[in-house]
Amino acid sequence: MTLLALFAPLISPYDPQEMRVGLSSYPPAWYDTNTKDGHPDHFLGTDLYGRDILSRAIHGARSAMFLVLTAIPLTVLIGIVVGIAAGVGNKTVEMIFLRLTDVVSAVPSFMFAVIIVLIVRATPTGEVFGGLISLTLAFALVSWVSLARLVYTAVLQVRAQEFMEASHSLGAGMWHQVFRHILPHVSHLIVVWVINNIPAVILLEALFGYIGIQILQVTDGSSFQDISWGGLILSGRTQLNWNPFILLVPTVCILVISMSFSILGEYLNERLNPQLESSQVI
Amino acid sequence: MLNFILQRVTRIILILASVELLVFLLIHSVPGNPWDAPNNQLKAMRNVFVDDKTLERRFKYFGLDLPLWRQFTRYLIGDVHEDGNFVCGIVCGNLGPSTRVMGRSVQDVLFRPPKGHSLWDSRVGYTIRLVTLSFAFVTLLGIPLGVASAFWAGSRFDKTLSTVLTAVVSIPIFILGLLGILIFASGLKWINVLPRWSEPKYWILPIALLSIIPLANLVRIARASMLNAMSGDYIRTARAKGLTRAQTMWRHILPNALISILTYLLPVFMELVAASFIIEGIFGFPGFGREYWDAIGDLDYAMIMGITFLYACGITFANLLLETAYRLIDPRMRGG
Repeated sequence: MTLLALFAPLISPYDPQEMRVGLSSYPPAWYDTNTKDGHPDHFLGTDLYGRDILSRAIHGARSAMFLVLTAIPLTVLIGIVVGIAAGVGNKTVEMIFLRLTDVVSAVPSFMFAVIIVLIVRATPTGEVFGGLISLTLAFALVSWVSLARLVYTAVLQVRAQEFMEASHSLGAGMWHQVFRHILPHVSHLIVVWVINNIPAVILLEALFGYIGIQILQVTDGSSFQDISWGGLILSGRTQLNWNPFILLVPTVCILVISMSFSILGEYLNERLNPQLESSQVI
Repeated sequence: MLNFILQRVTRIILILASVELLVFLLIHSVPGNPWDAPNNQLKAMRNVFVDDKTLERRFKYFGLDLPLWRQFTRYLIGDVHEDGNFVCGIVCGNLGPSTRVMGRSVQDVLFRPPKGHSLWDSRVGYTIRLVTLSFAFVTLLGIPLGVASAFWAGSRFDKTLSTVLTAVVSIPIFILGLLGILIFASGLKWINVLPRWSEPKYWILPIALLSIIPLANLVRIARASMLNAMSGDYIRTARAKGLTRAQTMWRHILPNALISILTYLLPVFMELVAASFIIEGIFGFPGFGREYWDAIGDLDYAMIMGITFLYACGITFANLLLETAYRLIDPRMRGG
């Protein structure tokens, strides 16, 4: 996927934006319907505007890649800082943190994400990177809570252990403790969380595409400009009945990615967590 | 016990109020108003014949000309409206007037069924039916499957089940939804893409999709708690005194495992509620979630806040129920 995203312009056979009159809505090259046979030049067919679907799918990997590379680090940063602060900070910090997580987790997180996208896309920042930045922010602002809570409970567990007391009595300062003892102990949790949440970011984008909330504020025809799997899904959904392949292509892309990450996540969870017994699945 | 419940209820009220405040602030930071949004041509077209005077009257009627904090207190507690009457807010159960469905209040839209139908045909009824049916499906299928796979742990059945579940969990529900629509509506033509919800066969797909991920989780939980109960010393004693494996299973392991499974049922239920919101969006299911998507598009402030409020109510009270149940079931918890 990384390779695809990096070399998208070289690999993809056509310009994803180029529209060709008379080439619209072709099924894939290897598929013949009774109305139209596949066009030999376009392996996965073309969309309503005669744009090559294979090229669009490959370029869509770039959008997904961008989202993963921005949203995940941002979320991890917020999550770790807040989680550790709540874990080692004083009672007030802890209280505020706990109440805040109560409030955020009382509502399906997607509800917040939608509103955040609506806010960000109207500001000038919303237009950066073709509107993807609003998804980055929405994801980060919603899902840092789950990571922070994970880190928080882990920090409490670590702090309750005896070696912390030992290091404290040896004169270790708070910062020393955080970096030398606490961070190494929570790192495996963070790695697993990241692996499990990479598909979630890609899904968020696709879900927005599916439900039809545009991440860019444009209403004329050029709103089809953003090339992403979510956009492909959106256009595929509207043409579901006469060309289901537009929908199928991004679906398969997302499927492959999320399945591989979830297998990787399970594997890492087993390898990195020394306490996990093989009999206990959860 | 009473003290505990009172304390929790106060906390829930605080949480609900904060949720409302958060959503209120967020939704009012979205530029535009219910009748106009920058660059939203669809909305502009619909309101092209609304002159400034009407708009002004609408603003006054819905209290949108007030300062923000007044709007919030008006929504929460109530305020004297322009005709001089005091109208109570959310504390009396009044979720406010909807700007999208003009002339009806939010609770009216959500709870009142169409003429000549029962409450089950209202928005709330649809969501409740969807979630309870899925919940029943998940529980009735998930627990037996989990118990069976623990009983024959390590067998081919156990391995196949866990592989299938891992695969299914990693596929997001809406992708499954798309595939379902593709196969059953586009391919096999069993159902229409625009379903008629009065017929039971259209319910199968949403319920199945909503259930899949909670089902997988419940099977894992049931299996793990069965294995956990099996490892107890008293099980060895029971076996030593001559009970067969099946007998120990029914008499000793199952009751113990069921207690820990039961405590997981509420999280599963909450998971269902949260997922129903997305499923409804995908299928255009005429429940809560769908109303939310419509309201978001039109910036129907009261509707968005009302639905958020009801979801938050459901989740926090389910939490309270769970904590109370813990205390009732497990005597160790009562002291603390």
